[in-house]
Amino acid sequence: MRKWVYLGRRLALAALVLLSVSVITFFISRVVPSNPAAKWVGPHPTKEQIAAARIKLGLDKPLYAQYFMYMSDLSRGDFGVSVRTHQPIIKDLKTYLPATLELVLVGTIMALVIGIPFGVLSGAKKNSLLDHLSRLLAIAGVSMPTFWMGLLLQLFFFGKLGILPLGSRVDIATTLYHPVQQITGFYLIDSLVTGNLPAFRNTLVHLILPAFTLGTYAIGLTIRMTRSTMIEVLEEGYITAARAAGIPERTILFRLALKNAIIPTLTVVALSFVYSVTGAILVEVIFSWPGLGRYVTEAVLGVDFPVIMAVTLVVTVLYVFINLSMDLLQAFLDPRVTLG
Amino acid sequence: MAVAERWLGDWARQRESQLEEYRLMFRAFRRDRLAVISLFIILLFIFGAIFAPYLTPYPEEGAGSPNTAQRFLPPSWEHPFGTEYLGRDVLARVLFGGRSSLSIGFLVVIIAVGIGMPLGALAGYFGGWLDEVIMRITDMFLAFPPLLLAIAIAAALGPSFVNAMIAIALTWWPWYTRLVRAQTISLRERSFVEAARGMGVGRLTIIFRHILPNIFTPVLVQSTMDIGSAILTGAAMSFIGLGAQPPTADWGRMVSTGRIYFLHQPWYGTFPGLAIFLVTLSFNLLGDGIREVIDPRSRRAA
Repeated sequence: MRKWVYLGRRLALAALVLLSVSVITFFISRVVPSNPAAKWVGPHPTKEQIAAARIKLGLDKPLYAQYFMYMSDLSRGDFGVSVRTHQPIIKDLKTYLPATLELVLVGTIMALVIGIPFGVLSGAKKNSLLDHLSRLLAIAGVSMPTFWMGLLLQLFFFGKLGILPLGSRVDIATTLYHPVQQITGFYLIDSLVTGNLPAFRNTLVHLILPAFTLGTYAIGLTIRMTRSTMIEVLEEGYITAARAAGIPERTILFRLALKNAIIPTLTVVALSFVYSVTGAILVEVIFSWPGLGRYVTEAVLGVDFPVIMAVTLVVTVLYVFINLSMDLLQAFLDPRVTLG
Repeated sequence: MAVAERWLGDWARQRESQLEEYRLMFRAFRRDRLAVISLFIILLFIFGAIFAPYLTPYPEEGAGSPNTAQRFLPPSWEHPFGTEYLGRDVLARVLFGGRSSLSIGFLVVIIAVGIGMPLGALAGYFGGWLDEVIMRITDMFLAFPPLLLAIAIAAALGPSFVNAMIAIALTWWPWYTRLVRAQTISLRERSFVEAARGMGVGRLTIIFRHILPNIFTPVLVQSTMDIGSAILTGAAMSFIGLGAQPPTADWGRMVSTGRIYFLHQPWYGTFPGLAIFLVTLSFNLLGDGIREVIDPRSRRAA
């Protein structure tokens, strides 16, 4: 019963947050001294053109009326139109959002695959050389400016070795001879289900550097979290009992201990997944990745407020949703979590 | 009167044990070699930023004037970090760039503490509807993805150093409100606060004279760790073009311009990026060191 009350409370709070997010993004875009109507018309606008654009964009109405128009458009999935390209924003979001999510997902998987083994081993062998090394790796990972690391990786793997591409999602040659059929927008999935293996391989090769760059922060976090929970879990009685029973150390570490140590790690990784969505902004710029991040930075430079606000809104909804589901999952799975 | 004397005695004893604890902490800190080295590196960068004009033979270039006759010279004795696309000495630019990059880190944290600390103390001490209102606003700000909110605010205010600083600080203060509120609630019912209350000390005086000084240590630890991330965020903002504007030197901006020439003239983008990395790393290691010295719980896990 208490769980359902908690669920209701959290959902109500999330709804309130989303509502205020829409108000905040709307007002940030309206208090700006920039002139969206002039931007809409293009270079060297006449007074009449601007006045016509103001009416067309609804800028002549009072603020609250503009907000209601904005919200009723939103509820129909209409994010408005980019003032620079005059393209409907929803159309752009449909191609950019999956691109960003694919990058972030692969980056997070990389973080888990690299971070957990390092964390387990350094937690098991406290103060060993490996432990010091992975602690340093962890703290370096969270201190690294991602955009700078991306450049160094490009310089080495593209400039010096020439084995990995500089950026973008697929080669031009691949788009010409083996075009990816758009189904989900995730190139790895789309190319695989259509049996387009050359495109699959090409996508994978293009993902390595940006996903790793994006994952650095999460790798550091995963190592730190796994290490500290492993240290705690390994001190518990059932581990001593397992050791006394002669169960091999590898089974103890990776099966028995990790099972309990992994819950806090996964929580942190889920949080860093959301963090990565914003981290992708910088990575996408470096690797010319056609995702939300590059979309929003171009909008920032072009003072394209409808686009900035649409991206802020979409990512915030994602952020709220993941946070909420992680909290709920934890509350329902872990009886020690007190509901408040 | 007797009550006041007893209270003063308590206070003196507490003060004494507090000083003893600080001495122990200092000794423990000195033993953490990484933290000491980090502190040294941070001081070195601050020194370099303050005395930049006297440390480089090219102070005009560091301040922004171009020298197009000497474009893209690779690192050498005259130019240890090489020169960039306008012929300016990269070392001079990195020294000068420390001014905006380091100060954004410190200022963001100072503003965030300045907003977050009093709000957290008020919410924690008074409770009730005031607590409810402050904390719901806090939740609202925490619901946004931080970097994106900062970008949206800075884009709305227009690109400049001050606006980037304001935008980042606006995404940062809620964390301090939470921290200080929790600490205040735990201190609210302690005997020295109750004694002060019994002596008729006003409520605001209690908060600012008796409670906040006792919260200083955890806030200090948190802010040391945060300066590193604030510098990193500031660099990210100016990398996008939302920070200090040219001709002011700025590390994030330098990496952003250096990106264009990176494959052939990598030194231009490498050194400012290295500076960001080293400073952030040092602040994180220093914060870790201070926390381990102060918080016995994390000492066990280390």
